Amino acid sequence: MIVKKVFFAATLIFSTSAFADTYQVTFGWTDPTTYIPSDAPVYEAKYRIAGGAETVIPGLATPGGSVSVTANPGQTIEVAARNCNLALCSEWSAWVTATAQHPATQPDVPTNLTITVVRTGP
Amino acid sequence: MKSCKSWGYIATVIIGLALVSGALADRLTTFAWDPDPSWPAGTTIELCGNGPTCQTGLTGLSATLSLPVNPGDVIQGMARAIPPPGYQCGEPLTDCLPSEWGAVQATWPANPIGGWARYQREETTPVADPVFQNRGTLDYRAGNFASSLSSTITGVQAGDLLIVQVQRDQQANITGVASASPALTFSLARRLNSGSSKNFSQDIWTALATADAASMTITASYSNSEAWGSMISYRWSGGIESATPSQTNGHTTLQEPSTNRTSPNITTTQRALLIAAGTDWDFYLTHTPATNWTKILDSQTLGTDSATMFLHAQIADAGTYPNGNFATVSAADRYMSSIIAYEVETSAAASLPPHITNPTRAFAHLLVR
Repeated sequence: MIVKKVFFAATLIFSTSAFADTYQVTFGWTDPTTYIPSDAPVYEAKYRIAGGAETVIPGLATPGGSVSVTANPGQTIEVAARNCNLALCSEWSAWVTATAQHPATQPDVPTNLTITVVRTGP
Repeated sequence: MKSCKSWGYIATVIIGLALVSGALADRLTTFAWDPDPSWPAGTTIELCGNGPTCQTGLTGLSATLSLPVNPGDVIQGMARAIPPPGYQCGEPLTDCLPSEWGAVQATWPANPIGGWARYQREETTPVADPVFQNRGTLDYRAGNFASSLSSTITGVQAGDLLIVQVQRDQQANITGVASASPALTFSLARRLNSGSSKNFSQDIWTALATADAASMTITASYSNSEAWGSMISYRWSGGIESATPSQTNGHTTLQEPSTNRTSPNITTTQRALLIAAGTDWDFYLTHTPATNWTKILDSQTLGTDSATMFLHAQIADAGTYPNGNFATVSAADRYMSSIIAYEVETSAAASLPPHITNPTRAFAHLLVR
């Protein structure tokens, strides 16, 4: 079966610090499965630093989680996931590259404000 | 011809670990089952899955079917035991029928969609080692019957590690160590018993201060009165997050006269505040701490008419301690001692905004708040 690759990829660029840093990586995905009452879904994720050894995070109660990792500047942190039910598991997703947690964008001050007055009374 | 009165049902059928074939809409799925003790020799299993896809004449405890299912589908399996030809059961005896069908179903999870991952850099801030601040007052009872002992300590700050050293005959009658302001209940960290000799023992109790206190009185209460006893308190500031020792060890009997002061070892797994505490027995002695150890208390510290308690401390990385003497004394004497470790916080994590570089062009919009 052809697995639809739905995970997107983005580029992670670290600071130019000369030392390894600790990163809190938060990840999540959607499980589109419709389960029957006797099912017992559980989730697994795995990550790797700079394409290196994979570390599996088993037993997630929900499709998501977080992990603290140590990485060097310029290295990518990638996460993949799969859905499991009893001994049945989906295929692993494609690797998704962690992206920076950007601060929320401050909305600009409204300009060219116009007001329209509509008479509603008698 | 064999016979049986009860023909067992097929036992639990389990969908086993999948072996993905890779072919579109075909999935190799393994089913497993438990045999029933009532099955006669020659019993076979008939197994069916989605489709239906069936196999008969199975003699093992598992089988694999190639099922026309896709991720997200419910995998179904059912199995029954088939008696050997000619096998009879029941009353009157007749040819046995197959067992009831055992069934199992489970959803093959669909593949994940919509995956995302974000990172945020954490800054680790070094934390200073704990620092010994001061001792509290000594309560020394020599022939004065009392049902409690107390020690007053000053300058307490929230988060301080408070250690109480209390010794008494009939120590087992202690009902607790506590303070009123701030209200703290101390926990027993280690008890030293002298064994059969004089039934004398020493306790170390600890707590973390929950509030500042210019002066606080800590009381050890007992269910009876005894003639002899002594109590003192200590305070360390910073770097300790738990008053529960990570490791403790100590003597279980009174030690023979010696000028060495040591204890059974502990092995720590990270940097820790080490407390080596105990009591000399017959004399008021001067202690000389071993390398890296600091004397906090000995008999001479408080005067010759005080108690015989002693306490030494050091902050050390992971290792085995005391691994020899933590002190020597001015004259040979019996003694008993313990060693207690409190883990030291070495760094604190704090989330920082991520560092983002844009090496090829200037920021189009840069907002600072």
